[in-house]
Amino acid sequence: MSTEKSCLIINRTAPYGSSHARDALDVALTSGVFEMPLTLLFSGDGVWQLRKEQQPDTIEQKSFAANLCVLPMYDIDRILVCSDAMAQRGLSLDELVLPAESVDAERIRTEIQQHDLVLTF
Amino acid sequence: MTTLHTINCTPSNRDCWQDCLNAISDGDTLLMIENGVYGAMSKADFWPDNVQIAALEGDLKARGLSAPASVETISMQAFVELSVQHSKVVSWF
Amino acid sequence: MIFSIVVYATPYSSQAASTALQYCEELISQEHQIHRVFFYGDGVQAASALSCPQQDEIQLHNRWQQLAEQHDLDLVVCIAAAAKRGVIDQNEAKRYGRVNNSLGDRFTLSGLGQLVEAGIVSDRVVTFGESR
Repeated sequence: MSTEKSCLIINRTAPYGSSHARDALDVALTSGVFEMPLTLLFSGDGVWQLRKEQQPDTIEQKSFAANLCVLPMYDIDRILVCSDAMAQRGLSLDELVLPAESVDAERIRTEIQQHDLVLTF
Repeated sequence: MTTLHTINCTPSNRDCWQDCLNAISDGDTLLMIENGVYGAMSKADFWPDNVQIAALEGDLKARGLSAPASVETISMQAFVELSVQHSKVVSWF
Repeated sequence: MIFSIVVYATPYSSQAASTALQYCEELISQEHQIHRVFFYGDGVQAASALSCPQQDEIQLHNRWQQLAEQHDLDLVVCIAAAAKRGVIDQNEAKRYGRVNNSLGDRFTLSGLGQLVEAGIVSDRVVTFGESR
């Protein structure tokens, strides 16, 4: 089942400390199954979700970064990161586990305007 | 295509408020609900231009607050009406 | 207009759970159509019939049940989020070998596909999440 409606998921929460990151990812993967055009935006603490070298064995959780890496298999490849959030946290694009496009606030406003459905986590 | 933004965290959650304010475009409405209504006590020059700023009256009243002139006090009825008028609702929490 | 609501906050620990209910009641009074109310993450706790709030507190579970009964609402609870939080129906209780079930009879357990479908079908999707 495909649709013309597009969805933007805004990820604002760091992984592991709460379930928001995983909840968002599960929605993203389900949207992929429905072939709903999807954009993932990581802003605020959400940019930490993409950081490489996550090893959550000791805290007995599944690797979130490893789960993110299945996104391309669902044809989800519009991955945006807020440039301000990255800079404030001293993160660079090459420290991320997926290729991502760095976007500014003006671009974020445009993305919000252009998508039919916006979900925040 | 304008957006109704709702925010329910107090202004001390700077990240949430920053993300929300950065996401607002001309013609949008920002509606403070729940603990977000504490933001109504912010100074008038805090608010973006060309944006309707509103706070839910039940939440203001619960907290013993009165919105200043720069913030419109609205009912749940108006919250729904705004949801219809704008093309989408984005929740910041 | 067709609305779907996402309840992403747990009752009582957060005001968002009751704001969601009040918003739905207002939608109904303005004669909008509620396609689905989807309970996700901690929001699934609203579906537990084992909830016993004090008499002078908002009776969230009962209010949802009544609203669903009076207006034929589709209250869908994310099955994965619910199961791990102990909100299960008879089938799930049997499947997991649990002695009790807890799902209110106007609620249905289902997958995230119901949330995505609601997003496709609805004119507006409004999320109520817990403030941090």
